[in-house]
Amino acid sequence: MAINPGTGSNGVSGTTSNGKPARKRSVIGKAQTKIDTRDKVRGITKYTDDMVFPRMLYAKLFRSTVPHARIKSIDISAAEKYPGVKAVLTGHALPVAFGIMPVAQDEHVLAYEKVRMVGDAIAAVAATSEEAADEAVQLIKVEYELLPSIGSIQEALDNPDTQIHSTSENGNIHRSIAYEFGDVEAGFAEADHVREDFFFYEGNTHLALEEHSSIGIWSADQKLTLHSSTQNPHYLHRTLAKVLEIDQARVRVIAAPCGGGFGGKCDPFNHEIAVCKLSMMTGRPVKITLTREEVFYCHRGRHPVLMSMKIGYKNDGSITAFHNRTVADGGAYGGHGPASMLYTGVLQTTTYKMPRYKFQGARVNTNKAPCGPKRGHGTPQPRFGQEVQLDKIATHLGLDPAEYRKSLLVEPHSLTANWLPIATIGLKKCIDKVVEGSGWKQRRGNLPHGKGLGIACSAYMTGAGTAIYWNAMPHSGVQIKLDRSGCVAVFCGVTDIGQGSNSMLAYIAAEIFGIDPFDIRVVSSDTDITPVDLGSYSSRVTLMAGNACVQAAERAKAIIVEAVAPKLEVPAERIVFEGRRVFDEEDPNKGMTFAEAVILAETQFGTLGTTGSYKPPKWPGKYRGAGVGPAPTYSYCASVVETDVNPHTGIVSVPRIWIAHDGGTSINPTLVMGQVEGSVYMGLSETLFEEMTYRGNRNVVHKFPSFLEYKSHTSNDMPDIITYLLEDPEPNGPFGAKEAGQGPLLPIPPAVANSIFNAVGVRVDEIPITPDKVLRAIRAKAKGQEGRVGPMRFPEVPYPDPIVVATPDDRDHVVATGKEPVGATK
Amino acid sequence: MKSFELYEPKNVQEALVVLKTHGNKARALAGGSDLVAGVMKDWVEGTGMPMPDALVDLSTIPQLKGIKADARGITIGAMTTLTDIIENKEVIARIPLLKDAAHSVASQLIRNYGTLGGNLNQRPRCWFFRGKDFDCFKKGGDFCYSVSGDNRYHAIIGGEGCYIVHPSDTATALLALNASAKIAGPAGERTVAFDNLFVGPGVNILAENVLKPEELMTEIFIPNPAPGTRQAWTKLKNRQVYDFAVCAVATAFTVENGTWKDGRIVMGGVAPVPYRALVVENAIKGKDIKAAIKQASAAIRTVARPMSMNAYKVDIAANMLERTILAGLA
Repeated sequence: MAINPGTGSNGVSGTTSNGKPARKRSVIGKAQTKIDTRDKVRGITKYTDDMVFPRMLYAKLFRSTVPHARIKSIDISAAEKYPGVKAVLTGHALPVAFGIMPVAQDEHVLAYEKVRMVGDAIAAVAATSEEAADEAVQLIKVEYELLPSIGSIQEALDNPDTQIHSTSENGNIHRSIAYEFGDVEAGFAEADHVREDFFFYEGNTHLALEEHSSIGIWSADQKLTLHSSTQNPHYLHRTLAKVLEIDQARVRVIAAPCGGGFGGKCDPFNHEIAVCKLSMMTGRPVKITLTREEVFYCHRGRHPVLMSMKIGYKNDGSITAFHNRTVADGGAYGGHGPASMLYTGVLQTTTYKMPRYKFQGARVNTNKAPCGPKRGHGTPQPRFGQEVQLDKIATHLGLDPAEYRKSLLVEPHSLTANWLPIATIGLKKCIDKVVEGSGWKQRRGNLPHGKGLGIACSAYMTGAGTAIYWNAMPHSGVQIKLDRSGCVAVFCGVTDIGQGSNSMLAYIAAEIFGIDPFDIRVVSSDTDITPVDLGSYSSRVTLMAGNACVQAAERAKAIIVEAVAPKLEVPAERIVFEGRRVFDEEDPNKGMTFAEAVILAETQFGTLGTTGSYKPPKWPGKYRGAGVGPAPTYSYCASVVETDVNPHTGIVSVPRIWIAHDGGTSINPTLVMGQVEGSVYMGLSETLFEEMTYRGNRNVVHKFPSFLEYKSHTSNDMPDIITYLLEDPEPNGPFGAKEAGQGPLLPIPPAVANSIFNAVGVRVDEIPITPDKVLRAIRAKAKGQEGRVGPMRFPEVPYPDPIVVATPDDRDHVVATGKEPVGATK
Repeated sequence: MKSFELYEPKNVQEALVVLKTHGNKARALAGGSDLVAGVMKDWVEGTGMPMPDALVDLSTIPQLKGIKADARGITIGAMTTLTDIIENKEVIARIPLLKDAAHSVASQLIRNYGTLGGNLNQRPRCWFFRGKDFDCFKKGGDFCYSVSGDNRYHAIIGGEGCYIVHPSDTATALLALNASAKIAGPAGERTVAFDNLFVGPGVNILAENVLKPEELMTEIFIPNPAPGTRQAWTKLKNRQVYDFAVCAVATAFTVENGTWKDGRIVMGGVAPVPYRALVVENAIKGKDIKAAIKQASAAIRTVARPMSMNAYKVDIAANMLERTILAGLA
């Protein structure tokens, strides 16, 4: 089914409103410095931990050393008496449960009835020095009544009576869902072949260099300010008001400059609330900076996911039906989990034509650090399975994996079986780029044993279509203030976590006003001062805040034009903003400086200010849960990975990666390249090394919460990356932009796995792909067994009955025949 | 971190006095990357290894630093940094094996700071030993958690109640080079051959070598290898920097007409001590190396007793023995 492309009201169209060709852009699309780079590289930027306030106290948390227990008693008496200690807080004082999603309110600031993981916070101490707080924490005594612990998906399913949360749906199944779009069994019956594959993707974590840090300040006028290294000040603002039981209007959250997030600073955290409460108790500012070990306990990283993918396909490879089952290991708490679980299924339809689709997903709780959103949020796991499975089908049918993928691509401006609205799709071009760049056609199949090439593709949302809590308000707002100084100030709730969102606003405003990005003052991420932006997640910021900024800037520009045009005696449509001047397009000498133009407008209209806002389009699906998955547009990506596999040790090295990204028009191609290459880095590291694994046996304890033992790539381990940016404008994005921050991670794990198969003929259907697994598969193959390592079975999961939804194609059929398919919803 | 007293002795005698006074509550401090930034930061303690009250900073003793070469061999002070060793002309010329092993340690930053004595005496990396909440045998506790827990990097040879692997790359290389250590103690100095320096858990589960708490390693002597000695080093690690050996092989041997005359093969990352692979040496001695190498390397399988998750290390060990010896021959 075709849908209408965007209207091109946001700077994309090739012509201006008066029908003349658009002028050349001076900022957008050009390599630009970030507006905050100079301070950052000189060490001047003040991160949260750099901030010091008079009379500030330092907080430390007492954390559980056992994975699952009832708390019998908490003795804080010695800590309270320790020199320098000003307050000791326990959970009884903060009984209100929280969690970023309304459906998963299962966290407490401090545990007081039960602990559910090693690292669960039980008490907080505020003292005059960090050392005193640390020493006092050692004096806290907690008596536990130990409970059996749950360490894996299988254990969670097998032990429903050892329930970690009484609020779970069923035993230790936190949430589950099932959808069927079209008759999947009929699809399998139509197929020439049906195959089922099992995959596993181990959990891993973000590893942002800056440890989480927060400062709570309760003022004498009963107002609360929190400075924090967070990606989502808006949701944090709401949580603080809820848990501390104070009016939202009295709470101010300022997201400080952030040393990396990658999804790890999206949730509201217990330490953020604890320092606020401690400040309310003491009347003094209270700071906490977590240790690296504590950051591993905060986690919220990639869910371990076990997957079963059953696919029906014809002799030509076309897909007739797809049945995807997933179980995610959520760890001890909910967090973003319900959404993460949905993302292990909902985006499977966005790349390849899939007329019927069934998805059953579940998330279990275990006594491990809670999982959540990490770059790619819930989608790298099923993307890995899907792309490896397609490779297996290509092998089975003797098709070239690149050409095969091209034959399956979804159409632009169409609806998927689960009603996701596809806008532009540049995936075919992406595949062509990496195929050409890697010498795929000449080299693949002609390389010596041990060397291989593999391909995989991906898609990712450019901004979630729904806010995390239900509301009909804008997702992003921008205010622009201009005054007689010529200064343009852009106010927006966006949170720059290093991705450059503040710079993005400056580039857009500078382009529209014809001035330099460094002429713009960007004020961001302060809930008192800036209009709401939902936060730095789901690759939403450039599209949503960018569109809001375009609207606010165009409105301000219109006001200036209204003052300048009569003054110059030139028709409004001939007024041009360029080179810090406002002038007549036909007689550039006729004009004035930008500052003079602002003075003219301020004189005529009074104080100048405009607003812009953005709300994503209403999604077309009408079934329950249809709001998860739709986005204004999707980015697309293809990658070819070259591997060099040592058949005797199983060691995989990756000399080169080619990656092509359809991210629409690049606002700043340098930053887009950085996002693409950063994603490759993160994706490759989790493919080959990273594991959020646990030491097992008597204690479910993280393997080792340190940079040394949690192995991740360093720059020495990085291959050459050849990056291609497609630059095809997307009508729904500001100046044609789509996302770049997450999608390029997704093709890497499956492309590596496919490349290893090409190199040595074995399948590792499991991430990470470590030498021992490769070697095991090679040995098995040498013995005449299946050359494969990966899950051998998929557990019995009590999924609910599926919500049966007619596909858009079924719908078209209804229009033609007048007969409603079973289960169709209006 | 727990607070401690810091001593800055001017000579070895002063250092020994402090060590004797505090008994097992004092530790000699070299570069500190393991002792301070590892053991003490992570509260690695138990009845068999109390958190130190006192640290004796050896960087204030100039005699412990430096490399001297003479006709017999090379003497390296225990406080000599790994970078100084890597860059020393005599080391490069006579014992490139030690240079390569030292160069494979951690990262440039740590090698600039880390010393030979510190590298040899660092504590094992076992993640149960390092975990605050695991009171294991090695800390004086009552259990080895690696047997039923995640043991993918643990010992495949010679674990007895404790399955650590010796973490030092330079120890592996120096044993292959037949080095000896000078150890100063209250009763004077003694020299211990590397052959007798390291002890497995069966001998002393609380330590990895024969040094007593009141003793200090002062220098290492490496005799000149016989003329024409082939030397080779291979270290397999998960990532290229900041990583310990999954498996390492050091070898130094002499050859006559392609035949193994005499020499040593030592493995790191596989046993609680730097492991001299005598079974491989015996299988190749007097034989044509190229012809015998496959079978000789495979002999390591006869002594390996892998745990539940580390059988892959046996394959890797056999393969690396072969590769390293052939690299030495080439």
